[in-house]
Amino acid sequence: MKIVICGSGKVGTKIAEALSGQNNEVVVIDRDADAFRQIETTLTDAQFITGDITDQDVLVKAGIEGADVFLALTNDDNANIFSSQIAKELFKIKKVIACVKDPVRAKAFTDELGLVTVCGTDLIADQIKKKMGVK
Amino acid sequence: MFVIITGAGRVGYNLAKGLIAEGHEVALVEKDKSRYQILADEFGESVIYGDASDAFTLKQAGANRCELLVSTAGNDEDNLVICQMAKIIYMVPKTIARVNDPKNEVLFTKLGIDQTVNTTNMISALIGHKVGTGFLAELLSFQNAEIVQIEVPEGSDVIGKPIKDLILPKDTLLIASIHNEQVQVLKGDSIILANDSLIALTNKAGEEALRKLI
Repeated sequence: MKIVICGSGKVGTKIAEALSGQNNEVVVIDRDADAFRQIETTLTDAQFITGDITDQDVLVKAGIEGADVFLALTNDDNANIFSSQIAKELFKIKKVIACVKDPVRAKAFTDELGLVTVCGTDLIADQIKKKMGVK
Repeated sequence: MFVIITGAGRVGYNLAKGLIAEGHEVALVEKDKSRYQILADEFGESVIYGDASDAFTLKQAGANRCELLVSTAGNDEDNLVICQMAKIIYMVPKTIARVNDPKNEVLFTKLGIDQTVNTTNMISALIGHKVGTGFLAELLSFQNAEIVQIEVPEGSDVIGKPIKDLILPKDTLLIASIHNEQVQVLKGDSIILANDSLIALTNKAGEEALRKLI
Protein backbone atom coordinates (compact mmCIF):
# COMPACT_ATOMS: atom_id res chain seq x y z
CA MET A 1 0.00 0.00 0.00
CA LYS A 2 1.02 3.58 -0.55
CA ILE A 3 0.58 5.58 2.66
CA VAL A 4 0.95 9.34 3.14
CA ILE A 5 1.47 10.40 6.77
CA CYS A 6 1.19 14.08 7.73
CA GLY A 7 3.18 15.03 10.81
CA SER A 8 6.22 13.34 12.26
CA GLY A 9 5.40 13.92 15.91
CA LYS A 10 5.00 11.05 18.35
CA VAL A 11 1.88 9.60 16.72
CA GLY A 12 3.08 10.06 13.14
CA THR A 13 6.44 8.47 13.92
CA LYS A 14 4.90 5.50 15.68
CA ILE A 15 2.49 4.81 12.82
CA ALA A 16 5.26 5.26 10.23
CA GLU A 17 7.43 2.76 12.07
CA ALA A 18 4.60 0.27 12.31
CA LEU A 19 3.71 0.52 8.62
CA SER A 20 7.04 0.86 6.86
CA GLY A 21 8.46 -2.23 5.26
CA GLN A 22 5.76 -4.91 4.88
CA ASN A 23 5.42 -3.99 1.19
CA ASN A 24 4.19 -0.53 2.13
CA GLU A 25 5.44 2.64 0.53
CA VAL A 26 5.45 5.26 3.31
CA VAL A 27 5.85 9.02 2.80
CA VAL A 28 6.04 11.33 5.83
CA ILE A 29 5.39 15.08 5.53
CA ASP A 30 6.41 17.62 8.16
CA ARG A 31 6.88 21.36 7.87
CA ASP A 32 9.97 21.18 10.05
CA ALA A 33 12.93 19.37 8.42
CA ASP A 34 14.53 19.00 11.85
CA ALA A 35 11.63 16.81 12.90
CA PHE A 36 12.93 14.07 10.61
CA ARG A 37 16.40 13.93 12.12
CA GLN A 38 15.53 11.19 14.57
CA ILE A 39 13.18 8.99 12.54
CA GLU A 40 15.32 9.17 9.42
CA THR A 41 17.86 6.98 11.20
CA THR A 42 15.35 4.26 12.07
CA LEU A 43 13.03 4.50 9.09
CA THR A 44 15.43 3.87 6.25
CA ASP A 45 12.82 2.83 3.70
CA ALA A 46 10.40 5.74 4.17
CA GLN A 47 10.45 8.97 2.17
CA PHE A 48 10.48 12.37 3.90
CA ILE A 49 9.04 15.57 2.47
CA THR A 50 9.38 18.99 4.10
CA GLY A 51 6.38 21.25 3.60
CA ASP A 52 2.99 22.52 4.71
CA ILE A 53 0.32 19.79 4.65
CA THR A 54 -2.35 22.33 3.69
CA ASP A 55 -0.50 23.14 0.45
CA GLN A 56 -1.82 21.00 -2.40
CA ASP A 57 1.53 21.21 -4.21
CA VAL A 58 3.27 19.67 -1.21
CA LEU A 59 0.71 16.86 -1.07
CA VAL A 60 1.23 16.17 -4.78
CA LYS A 61 4.99 16.14 -4.24
CA ALA A 62 4.45 13.58 -1.49
CA GLY A 63 2.57 11.41 -3.99
CA ILE A 64 -1.01 11.88 -2.79
CA GLU A 65 -2.18 11.02 -6.31
CA GLY A 66 -2.67 7.30 -6.23
CA ALA A 67 -2.13 6.88 -2.47
CA ASP A 68 -4.24 4.23 -0.76
CA VAL A 69 -4.17 5.74 2.71
CA PHE A 70 -3.90 9.35 3.94
CA LEU A 71 -3.28 10.01 7.63
CA ALA A 72 -3.40 13.59 9.01
CA LEU A 73 -1.67 13.35 12.39
CA THR A 74 -0.23 16.79 13.12
CA ASN A 75 -0.96 18.80 16.27
CA ASP A 76 -3.11 21.27 14.35
CA ASP A 77 -6.79 20.22 14.21
CA ASN A 78 -7.73 22.57 11.40
CA ALA A 79 -4.74 21.62 9.25
CA ASN A 80 -5.62 17.94 9.75
CA ILE A 81 -9.29 18.46 8.85
CA PHE A 82 -8.36 20.65 5.88
CA SER A 83 -5.80 18.32 4.33
CA SER A 84 -8.06 15.32 4.94
CA GLN A 85 -10.81 17.00 2.98
CA ILE A 86 -8.36 17.72 0.15
CA ALA A 87 -7.39 14.02 0.16
CA LYS A 88 -11.00 12.83 0.26
CA GLU A 89 -12.74 15.33 -2.01
CA LEU A 90 -10.09 16.32 -4.54
CA PHE A 91 -7.84 13.25 -4.72
CA LYS A 92 -10.53 10.65 -3.92
CA ILE A 93 -8.34 8.73 -1.46
CA LYS A 94 -10.40 5.83 -0.10
CA LYS A 95 -8.98 5.67 3.40
CA VAL A 96 -8.51 9.04 5.10
CA ILE A 97 -8.09 9.45 8.86
CA ALA A 98 -7.66 12.73 10.75
CA CYS A 99 -6.53 13.27 14.34
CA VAL A 100 -8.71 15.96 15.91
CA LYS A 101 -8.10 16.94 19.54
CA ASP A 102 -11.25 19.03 19.96
CA PRO A 103 -14.11 16.54 20.66
CA VAL A 104 -16.80 18.91 19.36
CA ARG A 105 -14.98 19.43 16.06
CA ALA A 106 -14.23 15.71 15.74
CA LYS A 107 -17.90 14.80 16.22
CA ALA A 108 -19.17 17.53 13.87
CA PHE A 109 -16.95 16.45 10.97
CA THR A 110 -17.59 12.76 11.59
CA ASP A 111 -21.37 12.99 11.89
CA GLU A 112 -22.09 15.63 9.29
CA LEU A 113 -19.36 15.24 6.68
CA GLY A 114 -18.40 11.60 7.03
CA LEU A 115 -14.77 12.27 7.87
CA VAL A 116 -13.04 9.48 9.80
CA THR A 117 -11.56 11.11 12.90
CA VAL A 118 -9.66 9.95 15.96
CA CYS A 119 -10.08 12.18 18.99
CA GLY A 120 -7.15 11.83 21.36
CA THR A 121 -8.91 13.85 24.06
CA ASP A 122 -11.87 11.46 24.15
CA LEU A 123 -9.59 8.42 24.15
CA ILE A 124 -7.46 9.71 27.01
CA ALA A 125 -10.49 10.76 29.04
CA ASP A 126 -12.04 7.30 28.54
CA GLN A 127 -8.84 5.60 29.63
CA ILE A 128 -8.57 7.73 32.75
CA LYS A 129 -12.17 7.03 33.67
CA LYS A 130 -11.64 3.33 33.07
CA LYS A 131 -8.55 3.23 35.28
CA MET A 132 -10.43 5.13 37.97
CA GLY A 133 -13.19 2.57 37.75
CA VAL A 134 -15.92 5.12 36.90
CA LYS A 135 -18.26 5.06 33.91
CA MET B 1 -28.05 42.40 9.49
CA PHE B 2 -26.06 40.60 12.18
CA VAL B 3 -22.67 39.52 10.84
CA ILE B 4 -19.88 37.57 12.54
CA ILE B 5 -16.40 38.33 11.24
CA THR B 6 -13.63 35.96 12.26
CA GLY B 7 -10.03 37.14 12.13
CA ALA B 8 -9.38 40.77 12.96
CA GLY B 9 -6.37 41.40 10.76
CA ARG B 10 -6.48 44.24 8.24
CA VAL B 11 -9.24 42.61 6.19
CA GLY B 12 -11.47 41.69 9.13
CA TYR B 13 -10.88 44.96 10.94
CA ASN B 14 -11.73 47.17 7.98
CA LEU B 15 -14.74 45.05 7.03
CA ALA B 16 -16.07 45.32 10.60
CA LYS B 17 -15.61 49.09 10.63
CA GLY B 18 -17.36 49.45 7.30
CA LEU B 19 -20.32 47.28 8.28
CA ILE B 20 -20.76 49.05 11.62
CA ALA B 21 -20.70 52.41 9.84
CA GLU B 22 -23.50 51.14 7.60
CA GLY B 23 -25.57 50.30 10.67
CA HIS B 24 -25.06 46.52 10.77
CA GLU B 25 -24.56 44.59 13.98
CA VAL B 26 -21.10 43.03 14.02
CA ALA B 27 -19.29 40.51 16.22
CA LEU B 28 -15.57 40.39 15.52
CA VAL B 29 -13.66 37.31 16.70
CA GLU B 30 -9.90 37.43 17.28
CA LYS B 31 -7.75 34.62 18.68
CA ASP B 32 -4.62 36.64 19.39
CA LYS B 33 -4.87 38.07 22.90
CA SER B 34 -2.77 41.20 22.40
CA ARG B 35 -4.55 42.04 19.14
CA TYR B 36 -7.89 41.46 20.91
CA GLN B 37 -6.98 43.86 23.71
CA ILE B 38 -6.13 46.63 21.25
CA LEU B 39 -9.42 46.11 19.42
CA ALA B 40 -11.49 45.93 22.61
CA ASP B 41 -10.79 49.63 23.22
CA GLU B 42 -12.32 50.47 19.86
CA PHE B 43 -15.09 47.89 19.45
CA GLY B 44 -16.05 47.24 23.09
CA GLU B 45 -18.26 44.20 23.48
CA SER B 46 -18.44 43.64 19.74
CA VAL B 47 -15.02 42.00 19.79
CA ILE B 48 -14.77 38.47 21.18
CA TYR B 49 -11.57 36.76 22.23
CA GLY B 50 -11.17 33.15 21.15
CA ASP B 51 -10.57 30.63 18.40
CA ALA B 52 -13.57 30.70 16.06
CA SER B 53 -13.09 27.09 15.04
CA ASP B 54 -14.03 26.29 18.62
CA ALA B 55 -17.81 25.83 18.92
CA PHE B 56 -17.87 27.63 22.28
CA THR B 57 -16.31 30.78 20.82
CA LEU B 58 -18.75 30.74 17.90
CA LYS B 59 -21.63 30.52 20.37
CA GLN B 60 -20.26 33.42 22.41
CA ALA B 61 -20.10 35.47 19.22
CA GLY B 62 -23.78 34.72 18.62
CA ALA B 63 -23.51 32.16 15.82
CA ASN B 64 -26.95 30.74 16.59
CA ARG B 65 -28.61 33.96 15.51
CA CYS B 66 -26.24 35.42 12.92
CA GLU B 67 -27.29 35.76 9.28
CA LEU B 68 -23.82 35.78 7.81
CA LEU B 69 -20.35 34.68 8.86
CA VAL B 70 -17.26 35.99 7.08
CA SER B 71 -13.95 34.28 7.80
CA THR B 72 -10.99 36.47 6.95
CA ALA B 73 -7.96 34.67 8.43
CA GLY B 74 -4.65 34.61 6.63
CA ASN B 75 -4.65 30.81 6.41
CA ASP B 76 -7.11 28.71 4.49
CA GLU B 77 -7.45 25.80 6.91
CA ASP B 78 -8.89 28.09 9.58
CA ASN B 79 -11.23 29.81 7.14
CA LEU B 80 -12.62 26.55 5.79
CA VAL B 81 -13.07 24.85 9.16
CA ILE B 82 -14.65 27.94 10.76
CA CYS B 83 -17.21 28.24 7.95
CA GLN B 84 -17.95 24.51 8.10
CA MET B 85 -18.36 24.56 11.89
CA ALA B 86 -20.70 27.56 11.61
CA LYS B 87 -22.83 25.67 9.09
CA ILE B 88 -22.78 22.26 10.81
CA ILE B 89 -23.29 23.31 14.41
CA TYR B 90 -25.15 26.62 14.22
CA MET B 91 -26.77 26.33 10.77
CA VAL B 92 -25.53 29.79 9.84
CA PRO B 93 -27.45 30.55 6.62
CA LYS B 94 -24.57 32.07 4.71
CA THR B 95 -20.79 31.87 4.96
CA ILE B 96 -18.13 33.74 3.04
CA ALA B 97 -14.49 32.66 3.22
CA ARG B 98 -11.35 34.48 2.27
CA VAL B 99 -9.21 32.18 0.13
CA ASN B 100 -5.49 32.90 0.40
CA ASP B 101 -4.15 30.16 -1.86
CA PRO B 102 -5.96 30.25 -5.24
CA LYS B 103 -5.55 26.46 -5.55
CA ASN B 104 -7.99 25.98 -2.66
CA GLU B 105 -10.92 27.73 -4.23
CA VAL B 106 -12.35 24.56 -5.79
CA LEU B 107 -12.25 22.78 -2.44
CA PHE B 108 -14.10 25.59 -0.66
CA THR B 109 -16.84 25.71 -3.27
CA LYS B 110 -17.15 21.93 -3.30
CA LEU B 111 -17.52 21.81 0.47
CA GLY B 112 -20.47 24.18 0.52
CA ILE B 113 -18.94 27.52 1.42
CA ASP B 114 -21.44 29.95 -0.13
CA GLN B 115 -18.96 32.48 -1.43
CA THR B 116 -15.23 32.84 -1.59
CA VAL B 117 -13.12 35.95 -1.95
CA ASN B 118 -9.76 35.21 -3.44
CA THR B 119 -7.56 37.96 -2.06
CA THR B 120 -4.34 36.71 -3.66
CA ASN B 121 -5.87 36.79 -7.14
CA MET B 122 -7.39 40.19 -6.52
CA ILE B 123 -4.09 41.68 -5.45
CA SER B 124 -2.33 40.05 -8.42
CA ALA B 125 -4.99 41.55 -10.69
CA LEU B 126 -4.59 45.01 -9.25
CA ILE B 127 -0.83 44.86 -9.62
CA GLY B 128 -1.21 43.37 -13.11
CA HIS B 129 -3.49 46.28 -13.94
CA LYS B 130 -0.97 48.82 -12.68
CA VAL B 131 1.83 47.35 -14.76
CA GLY B 132 -0.53 47.04 -17.72
CA THR B 133 -0.27 43.36 -18.56
CA GLY B 134 -3.11 41.39 -20.10
CA PHE B 135 -4.44 39.66 -17.04
CA LEU B 136 -7.52 37.75 -15.98
CA ALA B 137 -8.48 37.71 -12.34
CA GLU B 138 -11.36 36.21 -10.52
CA LEU B 139 -13.12 38.82 -8.42
CA LEU B 140 -15.90 36.72 -6.98
CA SER B 141 -17.08 33.14 -7.27
CA PHE B 142 -20.33 31.50 -6.29
CA GLN B 143 -21.57 27.98 -7.04
CA ASN B 144 -20.08 27.33 -10.49
CA ALA B 145 -20.15 30.91 -11.72
CA GLU B 146 -17.59 33.63 -11.30
CA ILE B 147 -17.11 37.31 -11.98
CA VAL B 148 -13.74 38.01 -13.59
CA GLN B 149 -11.81 41.06 -14.62
CA ILE B 150 -9.73 40.90 -17.78
CA GLU B 151 -7.44 43.49 -19.26
CA VAL B 152 -7.48 44.03 -23.03
CA PRO B 153 -3.82 44.17 -24.09
CA GLU B 154 -2.55 46.35 -26.97
CA GLY B 155 -2.79 44.42 -30.23
CA SER B 156 -5.67 42.18 -29.13
CA ASP B 157 -7.92 40.98 -31.98
CA VAL B 158 -11.03 42.21 -30.20
CA ILE B 159 -10.02 45.89 -30.19
CA GLY B 160 -12.37 48.03 -32.25
CA LYS B 161 -15.03 45.36 -32.46
CA PRO B 162 -18.56 45.69 -31.11
CA ILE B 163 -19.52 43.17 -28.39
CA LYS B 164 -22.17 41.54 -30.59
CA ASP B 165 -19.51 40.45 -33.13
CA LEU B 166 -17.51 38.50 -30.55
CA ILE B 167 -17.92 34.76 -30.26
CA LEU B 168 -17.98 34.44 -26.49
CA PRO B 169 -17.55 31.15 -24.65
CA LYS B 170 -20.73 29.38 -23.55
CA ASP B 171 -22.47 30.90 -20.52
CA THR B 172 -20.26 33.98 -20.60
CA LEU B 173 -21.48 37.55 -20.53
CA LEU B 174 -19.45 40.77 -20.76
CA ILE B 175 -21.03 43.07 -18.22
CA ALA B 176 -19.03 46.27 -18.03
CA SER B 177 -15.82 47.91 -19.09
CA ILE B 178 -13.61 50.25 -17.12
CA HIS B 179 -11.61 52.73 -19.18
CA ASN B 180 -9.71 55.61 -17.60
CA GLU B 181 -11.63 54.92 -14.40
CA GLN B 182 -14.97 55.39 -16.18
CA VAL B 183 -17.34 52.45 -15.81
CA GLN B 184 -19.55 51.68 -18.80
CA VAL B 185 -22.25 49.01 -18.90
CA LEU B 186 -21.67 47.04 -22.09
CA LYS B 187 -24.34 46.63 -24.76
CA GLY B 188 -24.25 44.79 -28.10
CA ASP B 189 -22.90 47.79 -30.00
CA SER B 190 -20.31 48.85 -27.39
CA ILE B 191 -16.81 48.92 -28.91
CA ILE B 192 -13.86 47.37 -27.09
CA LEU B 193 -10.80 49.59 -26.72
CA ALA B 194 -7.19 48.77 -25.94
CA ASN B 195 -6.45 48.84 -22.20
CA ASP B 196 -10.11 48.37 -21.34
CA SER B 197 -10.64 46.42 -18.21
CA LEU B 198 -13.62 44.14 -18.87
CA ILE B 199 -15.83 42.67 -16.18
CA ALA B 200 -17.42 39.37 -17.21
CA LEU B 201 -19.71 36.73 -15.78
CA THR B 202 -18.42 33.27 -16.70
CA ASN B 203 -17.52 29.86 -15.30
CA LYS B 204 -14.31 27.84 -14.91
CA ALA B 205 -14.50 26.45 -18.46
CA GLY B 206 -15.33 29.84 -19.97
CA GLU B 207 -12.49 31.56 -18.14
CA GLU B 208 -9.76 29.93 -20.22
CA ALA B 209 -11.61 30.49 -23.52
CA LEU B 210 -12.21 34.11 -22.57
CA ARG B 211 -8.53 34.61 -21.82
CA LYS B 212 -7.66 33.23 -25.29
CA LEU B 213 -10.28 35.38 -27.02
CA ILE B 214 -9.16 38.65 -25.40
